[in-house]
Amino acid sequence: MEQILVIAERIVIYTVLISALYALVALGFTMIFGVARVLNLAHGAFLMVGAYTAWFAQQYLHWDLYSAFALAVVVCTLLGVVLYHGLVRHVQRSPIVTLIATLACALIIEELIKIFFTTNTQLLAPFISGSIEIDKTTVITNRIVAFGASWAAIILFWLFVHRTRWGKVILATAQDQEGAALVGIDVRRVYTLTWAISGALAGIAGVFFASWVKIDPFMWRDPLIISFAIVVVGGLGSLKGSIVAAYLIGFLEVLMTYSPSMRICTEGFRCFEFLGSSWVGVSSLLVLIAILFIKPEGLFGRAE
Amino acid sequence: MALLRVESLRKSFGGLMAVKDLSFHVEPGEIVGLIGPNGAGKSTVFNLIMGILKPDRGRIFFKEQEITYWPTYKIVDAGIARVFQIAQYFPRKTVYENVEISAIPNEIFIRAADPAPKTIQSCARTGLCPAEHSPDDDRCLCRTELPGMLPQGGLRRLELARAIGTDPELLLLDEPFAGLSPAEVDEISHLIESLRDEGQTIVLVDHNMRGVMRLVDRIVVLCFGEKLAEGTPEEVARNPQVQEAYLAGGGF
Amino acid sequence: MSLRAIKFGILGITVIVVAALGPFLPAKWMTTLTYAQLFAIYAMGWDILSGMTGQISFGHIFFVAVAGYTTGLLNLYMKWPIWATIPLGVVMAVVAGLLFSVPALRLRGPYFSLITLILPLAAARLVIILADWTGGELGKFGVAALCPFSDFKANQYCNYYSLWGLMTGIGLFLVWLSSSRVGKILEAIRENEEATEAAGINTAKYKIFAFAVSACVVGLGGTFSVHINESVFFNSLLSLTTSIEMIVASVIGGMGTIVGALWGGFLVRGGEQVIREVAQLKVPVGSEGLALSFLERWATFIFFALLLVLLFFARQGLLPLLLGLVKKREIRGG
Repeated sequence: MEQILVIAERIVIYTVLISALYALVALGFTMIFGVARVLNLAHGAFLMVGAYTAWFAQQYLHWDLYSAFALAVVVCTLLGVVLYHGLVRHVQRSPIVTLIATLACALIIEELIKIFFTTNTQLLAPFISGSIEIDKTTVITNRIVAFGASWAAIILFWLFVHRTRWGKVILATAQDQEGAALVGIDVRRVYTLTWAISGALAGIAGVFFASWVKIDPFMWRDPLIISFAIVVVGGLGSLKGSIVAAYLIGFLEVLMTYSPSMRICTEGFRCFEFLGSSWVGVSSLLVLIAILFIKPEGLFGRAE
Repeated sequence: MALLRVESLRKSFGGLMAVKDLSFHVEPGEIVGLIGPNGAGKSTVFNLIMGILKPDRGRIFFKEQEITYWPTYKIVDAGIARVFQIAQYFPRKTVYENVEISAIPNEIFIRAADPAPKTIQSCARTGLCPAEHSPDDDRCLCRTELPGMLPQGGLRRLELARAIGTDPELLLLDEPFAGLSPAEVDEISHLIESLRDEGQTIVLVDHNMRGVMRLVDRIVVLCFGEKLAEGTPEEVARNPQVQEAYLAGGGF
Repeated sequence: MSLRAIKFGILGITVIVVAALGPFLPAKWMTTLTYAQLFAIYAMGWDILSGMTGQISFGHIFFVAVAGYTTGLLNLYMKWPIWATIPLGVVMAVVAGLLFSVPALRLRGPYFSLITLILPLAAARLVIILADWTGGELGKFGVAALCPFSDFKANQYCNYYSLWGLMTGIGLFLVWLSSSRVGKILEAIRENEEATEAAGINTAKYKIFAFAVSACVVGLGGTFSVHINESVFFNSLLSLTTSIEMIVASVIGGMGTIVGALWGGFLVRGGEQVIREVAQLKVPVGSEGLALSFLERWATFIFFALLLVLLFFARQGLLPLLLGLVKKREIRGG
């Protein structure tokens, strides 16, 4: 009984912590989809660029972590704008071509990182090292920093969208592009701003995501799947929906990876783990597959 | 026995009631006009009959068989064909290839008959291909032209050719005269009449009553999704409610 | 000359050239072309679905993996002979294709494509969880070889021509299918699905059929690749890069033409090898010469960049472009 309580507490605490990061990870993706109707498959790659930029600044330029973090955010913001103006703007009339193009970009970024930084795993130094005990659960301090930063970013984002002029312009454009153009809103500038913000959010998320997982050229895939799953579950353009979905998926993820795993073996001494650390990412995939079979038509709510 | 029978159809989109408790029937061999101002729900009725939309309530019978929830291809197979208001065609295939699709059977594995004779027949019947070379001649323009090159009247013929290629007993024509020049209107009108003379049953949708009056045997008037009146053209024209709806809506 | 005849002609010339080249190739290039033929099979299999119906699949490598792991693991653990495990592998791939396509094809274009991306990622997870059986990211060796020869050269020839046989057979079948009335309907579905339904065609049935054929073709390729490598190897069976390279190959050659994908496949794999060869060279510039070795790592990148460029400027691909020049058709518009 004691054991179960300890495990339950660990799951609850980890869920609370990681879901905030998941919500942040999905935020940029949801934003571009909600405002510009583009499914940016390079979103995970933006996160990866953020992580690598911070690591590079730290490792080779010997910057302190805060400057490295700032650089990562700047680079990703620029990346978002460049991707929009250089590519997406020209192909966004065709959703399929946009998908292929953004996916190609993600793979190009992956290749470039493989070329310049090899496939070796890297580690990003934490903002605050060490760990701390919350009741009976050990939590790496950096993850609490990530939690705090994620919520700070989410709240700032919400304030921006609902309280500032530009935020409201973005909201208006999200709801009705033609109407917005008619009242004199420069839709192209709105999109540029949207992509910039999405890039920035991805950069922030990338630096913190790197503290949960390792940095390697393939790290962009999981955040993309997480974002995709959150958008599908949480619905389009709904911040509240995204947060709820993030907590749902975060909970499933923690449940699967931090529950005590069972080793199931066959006579040939071959075993596999049921639940546990090798089940990273399974929750998002299961959610997506489940929705595919249960309600494929309602995959994105707002029918296109 | 009515060829088509629509019973108490209801369809709403969100808060908007597009079709409300609509009932009407179509006898074999007649041309029925479904008239109403824009937004009256006419295209929605066609979409419901063709299985593209499912009704909230009500039933649809074709040859006394209920087809309400059938998929589109099954309804087409049963004998109803539809000409779209905005022509739906294959932009990168030639005119001939466009019509050919109707002649290809819905079977993957069986050996099928050559679609060419049926295609040529459909092209010829609707006067689709220019007269210099008949459609079975390889030099016929239909075999090289793309639908984008056709004038509006030609597109209508293309739609008709594709529709009659499925050997329908009932033809649903959605605003066949929209966007046509007066000369084209006459041509298409004659084509429709000749189809009827051959025994084709037709339901025609339009918001222009005058153009359609001479063509149809019976009219069903729709307004805001409801049946306002039904009868011969003369009866309907004299109906005070109809006159009011049309005068209010901008007229004849 | 009809389009169908042209396609068969191109196919014929290609397979004859590849067959004739065999004995003259240095060993390295023979290996390259063996794998190029394999990749061409993947590309053609992708094209019969995505090129023809317009339902773009991003995760097609998944079916390679299903078939490959089935045949490899059955052969490795149950010791069943390859003439039994290969068909089983293909059957599994087709079953997987059917199971997936029935719900998935109800999704509209981009959403369908997105869901296909999940497949290889989910399979990768499964392979890692079941690493004790599958060898995880490293793979498992000891799978029976396709060719029984102990002499390396003989084996190489055997692999090359076995794959050639598979490629030719599949090529003939797919070109025939794409030019048949089934092909016409698949293209019609791509051009305007609503109009195709209105013509009395059950479009779902045809899309599922194309999916099954496609899964079968790439699955066959996958089984051959496992037995040529004598291993189940994660990076060749579940590489997302390869999955997207199928798209690159098909777009280069012209989506929906089948022979375009064939050529595209050779161009991509052959091109990558050419780049690697060039990377061995030194440009005679300056005192020491400029080493081009950096190019080696850029091979894949170059092809993805090429895809982007093509998407912008020549979306219809090279083959239709060339056909447009050769044929004096008065086709305008589209």
